[in-house]
Amino acid sequence: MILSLSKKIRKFMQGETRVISNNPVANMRSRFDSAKVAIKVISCFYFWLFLDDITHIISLSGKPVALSPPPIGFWMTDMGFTYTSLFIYSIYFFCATACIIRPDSRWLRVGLFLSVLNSNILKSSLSTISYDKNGWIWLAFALIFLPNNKDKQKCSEKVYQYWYLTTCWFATALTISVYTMSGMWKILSGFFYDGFVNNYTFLSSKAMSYHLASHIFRNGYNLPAAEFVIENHFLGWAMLSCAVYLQFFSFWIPFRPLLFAPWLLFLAAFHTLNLVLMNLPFNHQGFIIILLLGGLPFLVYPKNFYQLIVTMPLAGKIYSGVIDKKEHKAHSYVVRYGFKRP
Amino acid sequence: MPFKSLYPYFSWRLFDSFPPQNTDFAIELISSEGHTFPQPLDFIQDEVPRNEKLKKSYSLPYRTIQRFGQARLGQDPESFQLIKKTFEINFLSRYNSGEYQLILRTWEPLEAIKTGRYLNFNVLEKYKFNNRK
Repeated sequence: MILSLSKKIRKFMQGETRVISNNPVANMRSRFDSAKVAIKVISCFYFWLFLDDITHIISLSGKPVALSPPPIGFWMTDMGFTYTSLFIYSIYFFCATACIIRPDSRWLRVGLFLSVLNSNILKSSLSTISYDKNGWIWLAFALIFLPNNKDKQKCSEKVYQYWYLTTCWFATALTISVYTMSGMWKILSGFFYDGFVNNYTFLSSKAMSYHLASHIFRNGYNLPAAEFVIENHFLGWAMLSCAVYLQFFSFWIPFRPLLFAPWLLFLAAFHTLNLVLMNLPFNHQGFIIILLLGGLPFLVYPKNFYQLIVTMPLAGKIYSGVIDKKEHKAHSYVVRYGFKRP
Repeated sequence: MPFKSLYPYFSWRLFDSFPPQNTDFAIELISSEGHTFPQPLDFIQDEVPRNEKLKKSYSLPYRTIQRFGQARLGQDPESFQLIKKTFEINFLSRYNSGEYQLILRTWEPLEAIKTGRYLNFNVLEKYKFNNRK
């Protein structure tokens, strides 16, 4: 029953388009090799994150620091800023360095996840919760489940490769799901909650203008592009609605390889607009999206615009059902990719 | 709503609704080095754009001021003193000494961005600082 339910869910998430490999064995081997390289790059990037975090912490040394961590970091207040930093960053340094040399050790990956998590808690407790490195915490968590050397000896080469690729896929799905959470809450607020307390939500044409004006005034920014959007309510509303669509349906993307490349571009545009309109840099989140959607080997390019549009969540359903009325034959929904059989 | 966010899997409510009026804390500089300003200077609007280091710290000054205000209204004098000291040493380092005030203000975003005016405000307390010590 559980198997049939999971099949139904997968079918629902995949939509109408089917992506079929021409040569599954050769493609899995090639995907596995690419995934190994991507995991190496990701491991190196964690060391760079360590350097970025420690630079920030060192810049605070000698200054008074008031800690107010979220509940999960309750122990930091008692331990004090100096000892907490020393404790976290010595483990972080060890795990980040060792993971480059031995990316398949599960204990090192657990250590790395805890270090990245606690480093983020410490930085968040200095002012406000830092969202930028949230994706890297969840990626570190997902990579704990990569098979290690012992697992490799226990199972066949095929199972090992499948396990490795499935964990990479899980990492993508988990990391990208934070967008869906954010999008989901915008929709819930719009329909069920904030309408009753007179707040503006994405359903109101003035929401984006109010949002940008509040953000700019609070922080004392001078952003001409934002001022233009504030003056043009409808433009702002269109941008906010697109952002809600993009965020909410992000969790559908790991199930639809044809949308990896387009979604990578959409999310890049989304983060760039955040920077231009709100001075909100998401460098680390941007890089994680490039690595996961572009770097991991699950991406399949659509062969034409029709394939792209029918694969889009909701928009594809509307297009194929209402506008196109299924005039395209069924084979248009099947996309073959990869090595041809000899 | 049962909760706003669940750290670290917390991206539930990020810019999901926008109130037509905002109420928050602000800091205004009254004097520095013995010179009293003709009008109190809003720390975020007047001081941050002139200070390259603060400009690069994004929303940190605003967040710190909010923590300052909440600690002032809270029951923990020790934590309030620490945040006050953090603010003075880290954000008022350009000045040797002076006076500033903590205010609680209510503002309408579209009006405030055009004119800089608040709908209303209350001065909560005035503080003297001396960074030469």
